[in-house]
Amino acid sequence: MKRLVTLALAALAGVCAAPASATDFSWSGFGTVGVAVSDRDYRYQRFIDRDGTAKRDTVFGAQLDARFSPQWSATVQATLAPAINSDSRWAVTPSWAFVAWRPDDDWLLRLGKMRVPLYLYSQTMDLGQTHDMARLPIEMYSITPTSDFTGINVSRSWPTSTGELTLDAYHGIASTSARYWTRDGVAPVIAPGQRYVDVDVRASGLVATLREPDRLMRLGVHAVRTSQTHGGQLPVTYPRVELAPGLGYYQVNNAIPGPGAPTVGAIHNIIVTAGAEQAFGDGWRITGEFARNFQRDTDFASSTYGGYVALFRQLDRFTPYVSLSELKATHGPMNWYRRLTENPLPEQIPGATQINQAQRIAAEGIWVADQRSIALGTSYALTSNSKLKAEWLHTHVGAVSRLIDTPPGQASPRDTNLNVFSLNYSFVF
Amino acid sequence: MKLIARWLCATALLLLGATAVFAADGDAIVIIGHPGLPPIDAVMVERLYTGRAIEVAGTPVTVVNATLGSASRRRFLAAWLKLDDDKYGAYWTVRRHIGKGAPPRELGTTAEIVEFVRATPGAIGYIEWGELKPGMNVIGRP
Repeated sequence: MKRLVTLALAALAGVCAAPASATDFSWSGFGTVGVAVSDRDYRYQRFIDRDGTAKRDTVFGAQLDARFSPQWSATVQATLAPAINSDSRWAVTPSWAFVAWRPDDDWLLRLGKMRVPLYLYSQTMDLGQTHDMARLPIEMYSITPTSDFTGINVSRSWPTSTGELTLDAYHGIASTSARYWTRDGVAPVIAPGQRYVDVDVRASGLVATLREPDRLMRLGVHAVRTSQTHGGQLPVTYPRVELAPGLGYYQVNNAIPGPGAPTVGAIHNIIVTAGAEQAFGDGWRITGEFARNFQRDTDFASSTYGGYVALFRQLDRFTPYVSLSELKATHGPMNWYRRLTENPLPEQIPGATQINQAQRIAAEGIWVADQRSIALGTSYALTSNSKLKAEWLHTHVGAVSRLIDTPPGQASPRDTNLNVFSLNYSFVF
Repeated sequence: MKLIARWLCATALLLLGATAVFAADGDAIVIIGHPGLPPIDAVMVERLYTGRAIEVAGTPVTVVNATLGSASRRRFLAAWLKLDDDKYGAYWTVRRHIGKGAPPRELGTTAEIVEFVRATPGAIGYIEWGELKPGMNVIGRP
């Protein structure tokens, strides 16, 4: 991959050597200022609680495009938003930094950092002005910690009568952070609260996209390999240690007595995504997306299915909408979450507190979710380049939701509802 | 006398009508290209100005637009792309931010467009019919 980046830089240096007068520079800016407040004390989606927050949806970005010739160009985009590895800091992150070579109408080769077309609106998810929902449904748009990869993307396009069909093949790597929430921690080793684990992600994918004035369709298959940056091992399963008939625990780490837990250095996911947006007459439009995340290396890593369907009706400057979305983990991880949290050892047994705490933390490391939402909202086009949006989101949490930060000492919210009210202003120029 | 008056009125109306037609033709937008570029049809114009094509008959091309909000740009978008400025801008906002290139360069005056097209191999622009001068390579007519 280093060679790839070196090649990209060499190509960039080559095209930058073109006469400055022949280079066409253009730039654009975009942003969203958003506030969201819920009717719950606990935090949802990192930041949203009863106190309200501007951190969930606010983002600012700028993009510079340099066209050296009809075939050669380069793009750099950076965004300012809450950091992906901290709940308190903001960070400037390069989303795009690539060189593009387009030898003819049909082929496009890009080298560098890009946002891959994982979801229907992956590449424009930071551009609130380009869509009408106040927030793209988390049940769909949270299946991976990032969709920004450094690597290569080859596109082949075929013109249709009013648009184009594109096939994208990509391969890339990303260094990012996976966020875990620890309710109680284990003093003094692990503090309660958010915990970020650095991970390396390697992804390859094949995505077909049909883009026409009234229609957008996308079908993708992505192979993702994830490992911990600092070489940490990932558990495959937790052996059961029986202390007496019907009484026992799971050996969640090798500091706890037991036969030893098998581990792997990396996990592999296959993610299949499908999405479509279709406009009908009289301002009606429907959008739907679905993702299935397969994982078979361990009993615990992300293995989910999620999606949503949304209906829009444009009425002059207003576009009201309703969306229904759902995210569920498969039975395997859900069953493990229950085993680790619902049958603690009696406190009278020596060492039970430590074992129960360790099991709790192990459960919190499992990517589980069981939730569905309905959102009612509207966008209002202030100008052709800016939108105001308002939304009421009602989420039902079933067995558990990893998107909720359970306060220390409290039971994890389950079989409950929460409401989120959002107001956003998005612009592009 | 009445016959002469009627004839004069009819002639005047005919001349007014002809002037109106001429004015409409003068406002029509034509596509001009660097010398040597072959004629192109409306579909190709639409593909070039939406970034879905970058070459004409194997020659790499660079298209230029009139500035945002100008009358000639409005007429070009309406006649050739069946779009208005807002929809065209929205299209390029998405295309730019999915990493598929930036919108065409904008030039402020007809003279700048004509000069750019004349001086730049593979350049394509548009001007009003009434601005055409002898020697220009008209590659697209309404």
